[in-house]
Order: sequence, then structure tokens, then C-alpha cells
Amino acid sequence: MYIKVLFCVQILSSSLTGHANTATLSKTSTVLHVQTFIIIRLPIRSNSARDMDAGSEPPIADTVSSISESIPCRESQIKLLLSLFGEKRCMTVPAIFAYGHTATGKSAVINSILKTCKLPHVLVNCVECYSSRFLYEAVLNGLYTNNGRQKPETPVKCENMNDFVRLFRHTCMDLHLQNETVYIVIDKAERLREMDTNILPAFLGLQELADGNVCVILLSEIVWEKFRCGTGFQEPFIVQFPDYNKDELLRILVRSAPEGYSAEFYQMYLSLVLSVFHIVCRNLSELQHLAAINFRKYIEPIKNGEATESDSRKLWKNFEPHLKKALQTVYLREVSSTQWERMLEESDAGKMMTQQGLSSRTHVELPYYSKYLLIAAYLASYNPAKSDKKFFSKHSDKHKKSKVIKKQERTNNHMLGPKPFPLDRLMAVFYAIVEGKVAPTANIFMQITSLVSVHLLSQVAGDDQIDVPKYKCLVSLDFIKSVARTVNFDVVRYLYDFV
Amino acid sequence: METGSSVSKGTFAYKGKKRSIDADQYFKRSDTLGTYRQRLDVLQEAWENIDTQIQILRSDLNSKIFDDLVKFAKSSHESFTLGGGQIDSTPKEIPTAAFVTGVNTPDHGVMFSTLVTTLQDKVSPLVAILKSKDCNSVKNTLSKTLTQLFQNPLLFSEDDEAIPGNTKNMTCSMSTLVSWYQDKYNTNNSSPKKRKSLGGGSKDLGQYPPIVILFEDLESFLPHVLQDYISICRNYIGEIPLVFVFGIATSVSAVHRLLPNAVSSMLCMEKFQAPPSTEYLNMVINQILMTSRYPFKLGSKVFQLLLDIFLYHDFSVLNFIKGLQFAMMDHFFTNPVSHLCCSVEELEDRVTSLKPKEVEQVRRLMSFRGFVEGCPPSKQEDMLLNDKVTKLEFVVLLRRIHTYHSHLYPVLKCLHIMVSKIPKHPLGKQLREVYSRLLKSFICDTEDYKECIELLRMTSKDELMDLLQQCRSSLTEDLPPDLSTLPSDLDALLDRFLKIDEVTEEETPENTEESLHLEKTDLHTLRKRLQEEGKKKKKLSPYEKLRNETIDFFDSLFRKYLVCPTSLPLYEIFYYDAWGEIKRHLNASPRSVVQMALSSPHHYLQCKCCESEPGSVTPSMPDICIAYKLHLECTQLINLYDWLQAFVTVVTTDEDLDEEKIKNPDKELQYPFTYCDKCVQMFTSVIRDHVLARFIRAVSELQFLGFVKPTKRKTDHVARLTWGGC
Repeated sequence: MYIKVLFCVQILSSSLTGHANTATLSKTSTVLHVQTFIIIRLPIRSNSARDMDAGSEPPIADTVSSISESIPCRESQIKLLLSLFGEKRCMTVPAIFAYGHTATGKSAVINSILKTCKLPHVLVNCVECYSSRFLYEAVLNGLYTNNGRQKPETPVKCENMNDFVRLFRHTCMDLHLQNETVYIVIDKAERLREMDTNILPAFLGLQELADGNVCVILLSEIVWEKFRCGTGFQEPFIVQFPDYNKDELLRILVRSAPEGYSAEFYQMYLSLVLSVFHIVCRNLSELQHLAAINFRKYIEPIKNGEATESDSRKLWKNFEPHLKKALQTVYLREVSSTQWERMLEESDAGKMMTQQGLSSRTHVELPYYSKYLLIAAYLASYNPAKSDKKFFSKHSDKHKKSKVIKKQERTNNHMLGPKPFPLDRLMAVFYAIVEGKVAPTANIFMQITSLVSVHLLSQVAGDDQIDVPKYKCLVSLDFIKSVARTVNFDVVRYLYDFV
Repeated sequence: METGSSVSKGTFAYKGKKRSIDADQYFKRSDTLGTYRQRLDVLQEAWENIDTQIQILRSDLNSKIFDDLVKFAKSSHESFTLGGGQIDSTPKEIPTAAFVTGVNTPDHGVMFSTLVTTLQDKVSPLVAILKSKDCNSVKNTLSKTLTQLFQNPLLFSEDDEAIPGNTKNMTCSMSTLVSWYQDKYNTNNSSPKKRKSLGGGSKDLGQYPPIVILFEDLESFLPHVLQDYISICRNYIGEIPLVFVFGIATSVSAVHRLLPNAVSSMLCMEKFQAPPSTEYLNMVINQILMTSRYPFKLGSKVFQLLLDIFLYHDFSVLNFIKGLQFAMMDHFFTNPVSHLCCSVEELEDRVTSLKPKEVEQVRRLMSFRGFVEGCPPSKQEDMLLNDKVTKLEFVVLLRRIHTYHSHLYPVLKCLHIMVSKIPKHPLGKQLREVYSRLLKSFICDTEDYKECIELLRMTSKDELMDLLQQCRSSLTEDLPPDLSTLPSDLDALLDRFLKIDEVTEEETPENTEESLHLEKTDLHTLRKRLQEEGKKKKKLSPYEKLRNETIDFFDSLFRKYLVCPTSLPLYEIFYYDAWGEIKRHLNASPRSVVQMALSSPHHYLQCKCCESEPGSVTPSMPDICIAYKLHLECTQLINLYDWLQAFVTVVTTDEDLDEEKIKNPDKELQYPFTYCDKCVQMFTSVIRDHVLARFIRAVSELQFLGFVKPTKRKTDHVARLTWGGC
């Protein structure tokens, strides 16, 4: 307990030195010597806090168990955070940085702690705050609404950090929160780096700037090292949320077992699903989605009366080919579960359906000349300009050239990606490959623009957009092959990389 | 004009008064017969009819896919309740319809505006449509959404006072929308009276109408804007019922190009495929052009051109219809007797009211002249001189074209059905291709037709019967009297095919094979005998006989009715075939026009002096043409000094020597005529400066036209921007 007191004293002294600083908030470097002290102190404090929790305080243990009931496999993080928060009136660390991959329970854990303990808090998502003003106002207005108070008549207006600190203190007074720790949770914190330079340092040091009991919790998917882009940071306390392993995934997924089926049966099903998908996908929410949409197929034999719940072998045999198919569309989310079911029914009628569905994903119907323009653009993007003569002039000495080329070690152009080409070259290639005589009408040039608008081509920025516009072809080799096939054009024969 | 005088040199743009062209004034200029009023009336009426038909077709075509979308939007938030989001701990996905529209982008504007009105009628008044050009940042996107939702006239049809008038002052964030929505629909909950008043625009839409947000051209959205926008919306999905509709021109994979997995997993997508635009085109052609309802028709060349523009260039039905409209306008504008292009009922009145001058105009039509020449001489005179007789003849001829049309289309459909299964489709796969061939020439004389008939004579019984069935079912609409027996004829044929098995059995005994007498002969005689044997017509089985009969029946049917329209007298009144005009307006090639003007200026200037064989340069040409022709001989980079020298050589050779030129200095500088030494020096320097100025002007004009541009790669050089020589 004495450490906590010492800590508070330290904070107070630091805020004294920091007072001069509140006026010019952009620089917090004057309080650096205090920060270093905190950094040194923090680990000691947290360790001892944990020891304490384990020993004497049953209420915390209760909350831990009740929260981890709803969010399993995160006991250690919950314990750590709860011990950091301490009691309501105690001072807390000025900033906590929680990071981990998507769907590792960051927000869920913190939200449920704040809710179950009924702590005054505000949640802000940085994606929404496209200007810093929104961030300030969201925090201030959120303080009112989140704590069950009546909204102020006029929403709070706040333009800059200076006002924010002032208004924040004022709001805390207003809501009688001086004796409690106020938590500000900032989701997608990596966005803070792109805002004004003073925001991130100021939020990290908000406790001393506002001279109150406040804790800023930053949530992010990237590590803290990536945030260090300026000076004057107070280091936050870092909490990592590691990925779930296979057993943990199973434990979590099994909780959403559908009604009417035993947990053991559903666990059996999940272990089958995981055995297939765990190689390619460890994202919990994606797996949840997959488990949900495929379950009906698994239980189909049971519904038809062909098998019982214990007939796992039979069920697996029925289920395996279907899962293999589903593996191809993992992460795509192109079908909703109802449509997926409809597709399955159709595929049972004609087995070709899913295969077709896959190839039709990228199939695009194009006008005749657009196809040739696209092929020409592809050739111009992936062939060096020097080789045009070889491919497209009628009287070229193929033998000599090919020998020369073979001697050089050449890099595969397909590895390097598409290269920009001028409009002239595109038209020259187009006229070399297109069948019949085509007048250079306005419609042809319009098609180039419409190809750009559907992002099959892209216009490359250059100094001369009007006289010599440059383009790049954005489609893949497979796509261009299928386009060329529809016009009976052997595109591979004209590609420098495949000669 | 006072405002125009200014000390500084500048260009001032004046917004002129909007002038509306007076139809009387405009048409009188080119009207020789005074029929423009009638023609205009006929055109307007005809176009109105066609336009309404097209509207009907459009709504028919999209009705199915729109119904699906409406159903999707309705069902996606059925169980929504306010505040339900907080209870549900797992974050929900945003229901999203991936609406694959096809690459015919010009048509999409109309399609989406119909979709918006459909959704507003049937699903919810809260519909916002976003276009990529308005959404270059998250802020703009949000404000665009909010303004569209808040300022929706459907919501405030009655006494509602809550119009948030000034959207500029409000914070553009999703939470504003949430609180607005909750305010709006919570109060409805408490006071049923108010809810009733709201129901004006939205009947039976449930308590919480979903908010539908359409993205018209998803591909063109900036990825980061879209990602942020979606993640913002996802945060609020528990509190307001959002539905997205993505308009995708290419394929669903575009979504994954734009959105990373983290964002796309927030969506719950369902794919909807709009019917291809070719289907719409077929409908338009079948219902507008290939029907006797509308007398106006396209000639073969124009039809083919419009089709080519569609298939080769843009897949846009809207453009096709625009082309059709233009063709109609031009037809009625240029053809002074086109007001005869009307329905049968009005025909007689119109013809009798023809003025003598107009009759003369009709007589001048090429097809009528051909017709008169074919008449007996006694009649010829009447036709050319007696207006009364001629008018009667006109009525007969025009009526004939109308009846021809009424016969043509049902029979043409039969032909298309008959040839549609033949391998390689010699007459074309689609009905429109067969029609286009018919417009071009008498279809029954073509080689492809004969080939088809030959192949038809070899079809199996099942196939043939199937074809007959299809023909029979295609003949459902009201048939003209001449064709009224056709369905029953087909039925009779079908009947006979059904009964043919019985007939076969009876006749089989007759089919005794003549066994070859195996006599001892030499090889030569044996071969001869076998040849004779082969030549002898094989006895036909009853099925083959009947098949031949059927094919002959169809052949004669086709030959009778599928006449080429150009062989009919007075066809010009109905058929528009000014191919060049249409091409110039709809499929312009600006580049070749410019090149034409520069390489042979006499084509446009109509002057004798510039007429020369292509490739040669004469000094009488405009300067820019000379410069252009000289630059054609150069490579990628052009040395300006060399170019100037060449220019000077071309321009000055004649000028110095030719006295003629000096006498009519129409465009030349008038230079002094004294020939002292000093003067000669001055004279040449003046010439040089003058020519230099002309050269510079020509080069900058070429630069303006995009043939050359200044380059930094080499001093005193310009770069060529076009390829190819003379």
C-alpha cells in the first residue's frame, strides 16, 4: 500500500513542475525527469500489486472470475488490469497501452471490467475522429452520457488541447468525479499518430496535465515501438494480449453451441472445423463465422435420420469434401449464410455450381474493343518497350534477337509488377493486335477512360497529364488470359517473360 | 458593354442570355415544302410512344433484381429494436448487398435512381446514395450521407417541425445520426398519432425503417475513405439498422481489392447480379424495332452501326436509345415527306392532303422511280402526271409496306428458331443478327440461307419436332389475316410427325433392298454398276418425305414474306439509312478529321490552289499544314532550326520569284518594291522575320493540337507526340 502512496506523492510533485507546462502543451519534455522515475517505478508497483491481490483481497478475485466467465482464456490480463486499477479512489497509472491482434479480446476485456466495476469511463474510437476536435468533444460529451447524467443542453465545444484539459477538469468537477479514477479508452490508438503532434504525448501525460485521477487506456493492434515518432512521451504501461492457441480457441468457440445439441457433440464438430481451418486462419471472429455457416451441413445426416450424434465417422465423411470447398473462400465473406445454404442446395443438384461460382468471382464481361485495349495495356505493362519491335513488326529478325536475350540474365517482369506506359504505345500495340481496321474514334478513347474508372487500368501521375498521359494495367495474368481466350488471342505468345 | 472595357488585357467571360430556339424559325431555313410542322408533330408523337415503351421495358427488366434487393433490405433488420445493440455482446455485421451491375457505366445513373425510388417506396424513406466524386474524405462522405437522410422530403411531407434546417452547423458524425434516429422513432413509439402522420411516405415499413446507403460506383471510392466509413458504421450497427448496397461494375473481387480482411469481415455480403445489358438491348430491339407498332425503322447500315457501337464499344443501352432517337430526329428533319411515316389509320388522310409539290417530292424517291419503270407504259404516264392516280397508288404502296411489316416479324421469328440450332450459326446466333441480314438483302438468296436449308433437311425427327413446337409457341400474338392459318398448319404438320411411326410400319415391306447379284465381272464394270447404284435416288422413308415437305413449306413461307425492305417501293419513307450522318455524330473520330484537314486542306477549304497529290507540300497551303507535313518526316525529336529551314525553303521559293503572288497579297505582307542594295537587305530581313513569326505560330498551333510538345531532353528540340509517317 505504501508504494501507492509514494506514487501519488510523486505524481503530485510532477504535476507541480508540470504546471508551467499546461499553457504550452505541445512540449512536455520539461517533465522528462519525472517520467523516467515513473518508468522505473512501474514494474515494482505492478508486481507487488499482483502479490497483494493473490493474497488478501477477495472482491478482486470475485470480479476476475465473473469477468473471465464471459471472456475465457484472458484471466492473467484481467487480473493484471484489475490490480492496476486498484480501488476507485486510488491513483492509477497515467496510461495503459494494450495491444494484440484482432479478436484477442482487448476491447471486450477492458469494457467488461469497466462495466462490471461501474467505473466512470468513456470509450472513443479514433476512426470516427477525423479531426482532433471530434476526439476532444467525443471524450467530453461521452463523460456525461456514459455516466448516466443528463446531457448538457448544448454539446460541449472544444477546439484544442488546452481547452480540452481545462474543460476536462471542469467536467470532472461537475460530475463529482474528483475522488474516482476516470478512464478514457481510446480504440484504434495508432490513428493518434496521424493527428496533431501534441495529442499523443498530451494524452499520455493527461494525469499530470489535468491534475486529476485519470487513466488513459490505448488499444491498438501494433506494438508500442511503432508509436515513438516524437519526443516527450511518458511511457505507458504495456499489456499484451497474445493470440489464442488451438485449445483456447476451442474453449471459446464451444460456448456458442447451438441449442438442442450437447456441448460434447459441438466440440467434436469444432475440432473438425479447426483441424481444417486452423492452418490458414486463426482469427477468432472468422472462425466463429465459419463454424456458424457450416454447422447446418454437418448435422444434415442427423436431420435426415441417416446418422445419430454419435456417428462421428459417418458425419465426417459427409462433411469433409464440403469443408475443403469452403476452404477456398475463407476470408472472402462474399456470401451471407442464407445465400451459402442456397448455394449448397444448388450444388447438390449439380456439382459444378461451386466451381463455377469461384471462377465467376473474377469474370467480367467487356465490350469487344475494351478487351483488346486491356490486352494491349497488359502487354505494354509487362513487356519492355524495346521488345515491341520483335513482337509486333511483321518483318523482324527473330533469331538474332532471341539469342541476344538469352545471353542476358533477365528478371521476370511479372515479379516486378506492371510498368507505366504512354498512351501512344498502348494505341500502337492495340492496332498491332486488333483484328480488322479500327478507326481511332472518340469511342475508343472513351473506353480507356472507362477502363480506368472501373480500375482495370490506372492513370499514373506524371508531369504531363494532357499531352502524354501514362497508364498502368492492374489486372492479373489469369484474368488477362481468360479475357484473351474469349477473343481467341494467344496472349502468352506475346509476353516477353514466356518467350 | 462598358464593363468589358478594362485597362488590363484579359479575357472576360460573359454569361449570355439563355436563348431558346424557336422551332418555326429553326426549321423554316431548311424546309422547302413547308411540311415541318407535320413532321415535327409526327416525330414527337412517335418518340413519345417509343419512350414510354422503353420505360416499361426498363422497369420490367430490373423488376426481378430490384424485388430481390428490396426483400434483402427489408429482411436484414427485421428483429431490430432500439437499444438492442447493447444487450447483444457479439458485434454484428453490416448486411451488404453486392450489386454487380456490369461495365456499362453510362446506364447506371438511371438504374440507381430507379432503385432509390423503389427502395424509398417499398422499404424505407431513409435512403442515401453516395457517388465517389463527392466522397474524397470521410468528412465529405458522412456529411453527404447525413444531408441526404435529414433533408428527405418524404419524411417531412406534413406538419413536421423537426426539419434540421442548417446541416452546416451540425457536427458530421455518425452519433448525430444515431441520436436523430432514436429521437425520431422513439417519439413515434410513445405517441401513435405522430407516427401516423409520418406514415405518409412509408406504409407498413415496420417500426424501425432501415437506413439504406448505396454506393453507386464502389470501384472509384478511395480505399481508405471506404474502410474508415465502414468501420465507423460498424460501431453503430447495434443502435441503428444500416444496410449497404455496393454498386460494383466489374466483379465481387473488387471489394477485396478495396477492403482488407479486417474491414470486409464487418460486412455480411450477399451477391446480386443485374441482368446483362445485352438482354435489355434484345428487348429494346424486339419490342421497338421489330414490331409493326412503330412505323419508323432503321436501315441495315445504321442498324449495324448502332449495334457495333453497342457491342464493340460500351455495352450501353442508353447510348443505343440515344442513337435511335437521333436517327429518328434526323429522318424527320432531312426527309421532307417523312410525315407519311405514320400509322395505317392516318395514312389515307395524309396522302390525300398532300400538296402537288410534296407529291412531286415523293415521285423523286429512287424506289418509286424504279417502280414506275416496271409499270406498263400506259400507267407510267398517269403515275408521273396525274396527281390523283399517284396518290391512290401511294396509299396502296404504303399500305403494302405496313402489311409487309405485320407479316415480316412473326415469320422472321420462325426463321430464327429454325436456324438457331444449326452448328456454327451461319445466319447468326441472335435474332438481331438475322434481322440485320434481312435488312441488307433478300435473305433467301444468300449462300448461308441455302446452307441452312440443306442442313435442316438432315435434322432428326426429335429436333425438328422440337423446332416446330417452338415456332408454334412463338406465334401467339395477333397474327395478320394472311398468317392466321399458320399455327394450324404447323399443328397439322406436328400431328403428322406424331403419327409417322404407324405409317412407317406399313411401308417397310416395300423397302426391299435390291441385293447385288454377285456375278463374275471385272473391276471396271463393278465400279460402274456401283456408281449407278449410288446415283439412283434412294427411296425416301416416310419421315424423310415429310421432312422435305416441311422444309419446303417453310422455305416457301420465308421466300414469300422475308423480302428485303429496300426492294419495296417508297421504303425510304419508313427506313432511315443515312449511315454517314449517324457515324459522324455518334462515332466521331476527331483525330482523323484533324489529320485530314492538315494533310489535305483543300478538302475543307474547297480551294483549287491546295489541291495536290497526297504527300507533296505546296507553299499555297496554310502554314500549319506545311509545318505539319514537314514534321511528319522527322523522328521522335525534331530540331527546330532544321524545321524552320525546311519551312523557309517551302514558303519562300515561290514568293520571291512569283510576281503573281505579290500582286494579290491576300495574306502576305506587303513589302517594298524598290530594289536598291540596301533595300534588298532590309527586304530579306523583313521577310525572314515575317516567315519566322509565321513558323512560330504554326508550331504553337501544332502544339495546341497535341502533335508536338517542348522537351527538356535536348535544347532547341521539340518532341513528336504522334507516330506514323505520311
